[in-house]
Formats: sequence, structure tokens, C-alpha cells
Amino acid sequence: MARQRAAAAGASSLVKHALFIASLLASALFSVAASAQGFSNSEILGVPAGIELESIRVRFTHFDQTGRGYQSQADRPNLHRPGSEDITIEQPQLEIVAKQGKATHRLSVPVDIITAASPDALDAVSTASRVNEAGNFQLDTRYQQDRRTAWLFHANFHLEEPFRSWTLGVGGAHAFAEDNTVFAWSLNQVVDWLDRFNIFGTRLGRGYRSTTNLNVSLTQLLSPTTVGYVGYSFTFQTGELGNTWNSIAVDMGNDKIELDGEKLPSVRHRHALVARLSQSLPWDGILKLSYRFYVDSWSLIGNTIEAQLYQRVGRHLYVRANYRFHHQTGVGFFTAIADVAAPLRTADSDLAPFVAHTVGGLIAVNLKAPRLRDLHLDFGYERYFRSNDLSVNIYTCAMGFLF
Amino acid sequence: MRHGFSVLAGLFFVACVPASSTPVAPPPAGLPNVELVNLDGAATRLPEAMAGRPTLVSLWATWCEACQKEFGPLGKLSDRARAEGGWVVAVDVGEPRAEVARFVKDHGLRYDQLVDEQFHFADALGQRRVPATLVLDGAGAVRHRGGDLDAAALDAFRTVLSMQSTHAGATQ
Amino acid sequence: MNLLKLLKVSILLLVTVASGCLVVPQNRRAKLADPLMAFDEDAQEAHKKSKFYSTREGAAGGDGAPAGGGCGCQ
Repeated sequence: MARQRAAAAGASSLVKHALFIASLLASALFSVAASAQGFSNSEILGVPAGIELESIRVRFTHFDQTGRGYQSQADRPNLHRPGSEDITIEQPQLEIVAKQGKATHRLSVPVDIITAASPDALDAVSTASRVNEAGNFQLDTRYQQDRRTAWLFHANFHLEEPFRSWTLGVGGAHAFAEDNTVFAWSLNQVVDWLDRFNIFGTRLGRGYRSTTNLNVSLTQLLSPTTVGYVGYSFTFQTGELGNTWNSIAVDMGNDKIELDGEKLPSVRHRHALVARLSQSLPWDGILKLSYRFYVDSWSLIGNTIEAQLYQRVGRHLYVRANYRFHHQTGVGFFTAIADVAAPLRTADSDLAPFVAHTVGGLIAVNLKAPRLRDLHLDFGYERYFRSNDLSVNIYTCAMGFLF
Repeated sequence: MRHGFSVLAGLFFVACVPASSTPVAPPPAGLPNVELVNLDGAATRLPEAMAGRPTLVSLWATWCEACQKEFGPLGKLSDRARAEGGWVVAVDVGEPRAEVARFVKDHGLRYDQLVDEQFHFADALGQRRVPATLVLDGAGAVRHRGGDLDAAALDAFRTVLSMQSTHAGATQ
Repeated sequence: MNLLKLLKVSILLLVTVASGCLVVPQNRRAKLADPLMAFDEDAQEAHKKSKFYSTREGAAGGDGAPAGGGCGCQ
């Protein structure tokens, strides 16, 4: 009996030892297997975040405009002379860019705060200064389907005191020839509601405007230092195409001239053809050139040439000089004093024949900062002046946080 | 004159478009024996520098934003691979050695770096993009070719590492 | 210049640009990767410029944004 109990105890102990050795062997084998693994994909590549903030940028621009135009009633000595087009505009802008997987979202909110002698017909009679605010909420999303193909979505809402506007757009881009060539297109539809005020400040109900716009373009690498671009833009507009309170002097006959509203066509189609070039220069500079040819159904023909010259100074700073020349023929029915029988008439100085120049410059710096990939600061000034008595001083500054 | 315009346009198109779709020669299976330099300027060749270790090669450039997203993962992988008898090396393509050395120092990159200043190594491999990731076994054969450092590249690297340790175990 | 001529010039330009006589491999685009080489490197500046010119000049368009409409300015 005692011998049996001793035998049983010995067997139990043996089993315990065997189990212990087996577990040692198992854990040794497991750790060998684990160390042969060494690393997991998530350990090395990390777990992708849902939404990553890429950048936040703010820009502030001040426009100081002086000039005279026949469509303005402000400060007008007589109907043979143009009125004042003096305006100041404060334009803050906010932009937030975030990445979500294959999609990149860009939310931008530009606001215009306009102070003018007579910006709209509510003030047309009194010509007292007033402030008008206009703001935009715009969301652009780019979805990178794969390395070669991207889809673009665009939505915009514009809010202004007598005006509302909605825009929806879609587009795409496809690269081929080893990404040397990119074909892009976009289609936008804009619907505007506006309060129709006449030149005496009376509200005449609501007006509507539709704008349909198609853009196609081709971007081509021409060399390791040169990029070329050609694009075509078509726009079809219908509805109330003026702001309804622009005035024009009308010759009633018998030396009698009276003030009345402009009369614009209800349809307009526009064509623009653009060619651009961006060239890297051997001394850390970049030259950009562009030419635009414009023609529309109101017989306005425009030619615009632009040049921008960038120069990097060291690793963090760059400066830019820019010049723009624009010539337009004016619409077929532009006149300072209209005939009473004219079916179409406008004295809007923006639709007149003129030559315009813009000259300016910018200085920018990109700095390294804690927790930021880049901190961007820039300051710029431009002067716009044109042959029909309008000039604008433009001051701009910006700050950008890139994560 | 009217037809002349169309003929001219057609000639442009016919003459030039095929050039952009010329097929690229298939890349070689093995590792080219092309001279590279380290950040101190000393010349080396990858087959010798590998010293029989399974290796992950990352082709990159300082101007490449997608490459910069791989700095952290490559650093972690380099530490892990070293413990397994493997090697991670980044090869900068097409830039001066001094510029690469300054960039590496500014960004605190701690894994091994070589420089292919004249694209000879990249061209011999048939690689025309950055980032590009190659996985080589201990014998220098290319076992994986890809773009970004991704799951496929890591799987291939794990495979060559375990092949190496199995082989080492068998020969002991 | 009438519309037909405009279209012909556009086609010639398009074909010339798209001819792709030279292919630049992606790993040789150090200069092209400079953010300043982009035609509109700052979206806020591009918006400011587009809004400014489209509300002061009868010729608007060609910059990828809808030409005209969208505000009470014209």
C-alpha cells in the first residue's frame, strides 16, 4: 500500500516536471517565433489617422480704390461727368486643409467688407457712405482615386446683403505618359438670387441669374525645369446679368438728359483661352508667364499678359515681382450718354474699352517652428491702374501654419 | 492653307506622342554593382556593404514629400532589422552628397544613408520614381520592388529575414 | 479673330503641348517639385486675384473659376 502511494506520488511529480519542461520548451519556441517576426506592420507604419490637419492659413487684404465711372451717382457734378467709384474693401480670408484617407478637403471663408460712397441703390439717393458685407463658404474636395486619377468636388455659398449665390462643381484630372501630361476638366453651375433695386432705391422684386461654366486644360512637362499649360474656359450666363442699380445718362432729345437704368442682354457666353509657362531658372529663380485671350457675345475682346519673377534668397526667403497688362475693347453697347431708343445700354466703366496695368511685389518667408512642418509669412503690395480713371492700391499679408 | 494646318497638327501628334509611350526596359533581377558614396564621401558598393545581410533599400530625394513621410517608419524598421541581422539603407538619388548630408543632419535621420549622385544606381535598377522600395535577400537578389514603404514591402522583408535565420539555423 | 480661327489655334497649341516629345522621369523632378513652380501656389492669393479682376474687368474667366455670377458685383 505504502509502495503504491509512493509510486503514485513519484508519477505525479514526474508529470509535474514533464509539464514544466514542456511549458519551458513551448515558451522558448514561441519567443523564437516572435523574434523571427520582429515587427508588425502597424508598429512600423503606424495606424492611419481618420482626419489629419494639413494647414491653416489666414490672409488679410486691403483694397483702396479711387476713380470715376459713369454708372455711379455718387459725387456726380452733372450727367455729362462720371461719378465717384471710391471704395475701400477689407478682405480677411481663412483656409483650412485636412486630409482624410485619399481625400483632401479645403474649406475657405473669404469675407469682403466694403465701404463705399455709393455701392448700391439703397444709398443711391442719399450718397451717404455705407458698409456692405459679403462672405463666402467654399468647400473643395479632391479625391485621389489612384496615382493617375483624381476627382474634384466644389461647393460654394455666397452671402451678401441684397444677394445670395450657390455653386456646385465637379471635375477630374488624369495623368498619363508617366505623369508628364495631366488632362483636367471641371464643370460648375452657379445660381444667383438678387434683390432688384432700381436707381432710385425702390425694390422691384427678385432677380435670378444662372452661370454654367466648363473648363478643360492640359498640363505638360516640357523639360526637367519647365511646365507648360493650355486651358479653355466656356461660360454661359442667363438671367439678370447686371446689378440693376447701375445708372446711365440718357439723351431724351431737345437737349434733355435724364438718369435711367442700364439695359443689358439676358444672355452672355464667354470664351477664354489661356497659355501658361513656368520655368525654373539656374540661379534659384522662377519665371512664370501667361497669356489669355478672351471673347464674348457682348463683343468684348480682351488680351491679358502676365509675368511673375520669383527669386529665392537663402533657404527660407523668397521675393516676387509681378506685372500684368490687360487690354479690352469694351462691349458693343457701352456709352457715356445713351440714345433713348437704344435697346441695350451701359455706362459701366468695367465694360468700357480700356488698358489696365498691375505692378507689384511680395516678400515671403518660410520658417521652421516647433510642432510645425512650416510657418509661412508674406507681405505684398500691388498697384492697379487703368486708362479710364480707376486705380487701386492693394496691400496683403498672410500667415500659414503647415502641419 | 486650310488643310495645311490639319497636316501640321497631325505631324506634331504623330511624331511626338509615341516618344512618351516608349516602353521602359524590364529591370534586372540582380543588384547592379554601381559605386555609391556614404555621407562622408567614401565610395562603396551595395553588394559589399550588405555583407550578406537581408536588406531593405529605400530610394529617396530631399525634395520628395512622400519620401519624408517614411522617415519615421524607416528609423523604426532599421532598429528592428538590426536585431534580426538585417539592414535598412536609404539611397538618395540625383543630389549632391553634401546637400544630402546637411538634410540628414537637420532632420535627425539615424538609419544608414548612401548617395547615388548621378542616378547611375537608380537607372541600372530601372527605377524612375521616388520613393522606391527594394527588398534584397542575403545573396543580393531582388525579392521585392515597390513604391512607398508599405505592407507588401514589410512582408517581403520579414520573409527574407526569416529565410536567413532558417538558413543560419540549418547550417549550425 | 473669329471663333473658328480661335479653335484652330487652340488645337495647335494643345497638340504641341501634349506632344510629350520629352518624358521626365519622376525622380528627376527636383526643380519641378518646388512649390513655387505651381501656377497658383497660394489658393488664397488666387482667389483674391480672381475676385479682384472679375469684378473690375468685363473679361473674366480662364482661371478655372466660374466667370461672372456668384456676387452682386456685375
